[in-house]
Amino acid sequence: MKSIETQLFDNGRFTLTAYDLDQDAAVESAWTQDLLYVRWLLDEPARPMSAFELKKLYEKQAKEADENGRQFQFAVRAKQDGSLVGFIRIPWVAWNNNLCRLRLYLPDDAAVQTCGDEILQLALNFIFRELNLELVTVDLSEANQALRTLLERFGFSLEVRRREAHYQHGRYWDELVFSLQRSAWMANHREAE
Amino acid sequence: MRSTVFEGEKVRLQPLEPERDAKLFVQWDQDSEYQVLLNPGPANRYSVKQVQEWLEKDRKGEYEFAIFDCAADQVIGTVGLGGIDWAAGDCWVGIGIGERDHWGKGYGTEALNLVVRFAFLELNLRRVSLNYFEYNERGRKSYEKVGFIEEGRISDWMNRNGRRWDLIFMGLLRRDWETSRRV
Repeated sequence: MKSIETQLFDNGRFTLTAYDLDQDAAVESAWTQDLLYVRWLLDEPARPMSAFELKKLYEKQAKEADENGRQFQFAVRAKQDGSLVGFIRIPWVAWNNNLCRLRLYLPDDAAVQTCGDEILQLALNFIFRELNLELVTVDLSEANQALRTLLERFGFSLEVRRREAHYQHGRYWDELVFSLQRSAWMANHREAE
Repeated sequence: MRSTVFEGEKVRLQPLEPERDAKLFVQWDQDSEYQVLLNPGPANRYSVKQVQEWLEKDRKGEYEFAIFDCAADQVIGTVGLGGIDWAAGDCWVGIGIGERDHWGKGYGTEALNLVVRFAFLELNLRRVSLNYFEYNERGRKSYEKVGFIEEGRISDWMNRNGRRWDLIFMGLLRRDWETSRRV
């Protein structure tokens, strides 16, 4: 285990910051043209979202996080130029059960493939080192092959396959739930260090 | 034409009445085992006023019912559908029988059958989802009787009584439900 000097919000190319309400909303609005991206933002059929709507959503999420202490969210930025790369959102921590749900928001498969490893590593460092949780789960559509490959590379295991629970592009897809136990992450991480 | 979708042999589903049912909810919550079967959060106590205010909130998109024992002329529990994904035709069901002397006697199974029928025949949904905690063996038997099948489990998901337990997911597809009804 690394010492407390380990930086939780920085690694090679990226840094985690708070949201910049106006600028991030404008960038993310463009990303929501891709309905696969926006599918996980809304509890309703996916549609593109305006910067105005997203800004309201950020404000609502920040207020909830502040009030309930069960949510965390970070903007991921490139160190080189400060540009927005994606978001890490932990929409729900169950403190009594030492677990959380994680969502990574990256604009497309190319971003998952080129930046996903470092960003997921930052998320897991925060979850296991700082929040001290035992378990993290990620739910995704079977259609999201890039994210699935990333999760499997980090040792996540497929635990649940909810048959035809997701609809997109004219067909039904299974919804998958992956999980990673702290013990498995620690074992992998020790090997890596 | 009269719809009897909410009427079974032993129970019927009827709307929740906040003033009446808040008192029942508080009474049922006194039984911590009931709470532990239903919720992953810490068991807790709430006042009638708190529960009534919660019941009075507008819960758009949720269908929550009282389970009424026709013979005993009393409300014995609740069942509801929520988290509806209209594009995929998916929803989540939750059920609790608060009256302990009604446990294990088929009331919950019949109520679940009624709400599943409502989901498929009236809301035109395609699947019903649920999850339960590993220690709820009685619940599992009931869900299987209705036709739910296991779709996986998250190992060691929750803490209770000094150990971790799995969270188990089940699903029922409308086409399977229709086939089983024909048989």
